[in-house]
Amino acid sequence: MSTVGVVRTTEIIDRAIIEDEPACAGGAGPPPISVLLVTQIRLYADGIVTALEELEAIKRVDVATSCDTALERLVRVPSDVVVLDLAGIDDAAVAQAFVRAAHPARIVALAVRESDHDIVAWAEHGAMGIVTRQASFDDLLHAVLAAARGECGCSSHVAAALLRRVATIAAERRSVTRYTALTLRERQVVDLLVQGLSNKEIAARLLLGVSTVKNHVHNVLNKVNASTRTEAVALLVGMKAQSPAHKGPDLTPV
Amino acid sequence: MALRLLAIDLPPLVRDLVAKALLRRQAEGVFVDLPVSGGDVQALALAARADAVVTPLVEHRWPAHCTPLVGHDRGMALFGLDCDEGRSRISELRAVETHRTEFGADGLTIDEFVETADRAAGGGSPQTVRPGDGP
Repeated sequence: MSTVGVVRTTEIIDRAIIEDEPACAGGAGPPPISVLLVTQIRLYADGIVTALEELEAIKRVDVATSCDTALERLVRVPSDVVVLDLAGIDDAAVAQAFVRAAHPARIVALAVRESDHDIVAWAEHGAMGIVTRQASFDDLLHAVLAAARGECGCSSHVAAALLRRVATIAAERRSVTRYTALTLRERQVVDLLVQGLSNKEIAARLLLGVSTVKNHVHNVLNKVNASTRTEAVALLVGMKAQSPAHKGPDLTPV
Repeated sequence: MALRLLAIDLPPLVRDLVAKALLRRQAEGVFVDLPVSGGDVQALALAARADAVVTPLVEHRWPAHCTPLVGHDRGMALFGLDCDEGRSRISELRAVETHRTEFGADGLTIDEFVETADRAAGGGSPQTVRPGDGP
């Protein structure tokens, strides 16, 4: 018989109460918040509403069964936080349009897929809280209360995905900066280098001496921080694709 | 006697909502995450003194660990929760598949599910219980 991961009802409830205590502290705590839950799934709707309404930190929970009715509702009765359940929404564009239209309401996206792509996409669309499909009620509550304070309450998994994205953006910016630091002649050399031409072939193509081309290649390697020609080509392919200079005539360094 | 529900491998949010619904009815739940290799659900149910079992369906079908419970005329009340793509749906199976009922995503609340499980476990009708229905 397996006894792996057995949890009794009372343990789950106790954990939720402990998590909620700081927000419920009387007097000094933040004012109770109103929540609008947008979901098509009744199984979740009533359960979440009942569970949230039991908490002192929540003063009101309304439910809308579509993004359209949620927007109408928000116009009439503003809510501090909107929980958008993505599970029942087929068209992601509809949900994304809702997030933009619902501004300045603070959106918590619920049931986001556990992929970096989806997590980052919802952050970019303006969700203040991201709760994945494997999240617990405590995770949802944490995200709602944090969003009400203007903060992002997310799991370490979500935070890691967002930090990875920030690191990638920073690396891309560094690459673009390096590429745009090349002179016009160096970029001409790079274009041919990427095509696999030898120094002699590049010299012939640009009507330059081979030693001049070697100097340009040497400078390029230094500027893109590559130790070999192959490494430089690999880096430059990515840099060229990201560089605004590559896409247009503006050669101004970033 | 209060319902004692054995909940297997429920997604965390559903698990928490079911736990709260059980508490409201003064019923009890035992929540188990089986290892990937599966487990003996009958033995688990016996050890937990469970009256009913709920488990997620796998691609709309009963998972392998439920096989011993499916297809018995007087078997334990067994509920399958369809969590595919987050579209929760509860189907109920009690006594061979002749009493199978499926409730769409918009059809059943957590409280109604727990009440339905309570009735089914007590030997009552496995029909859906709606708010206002008598005991």
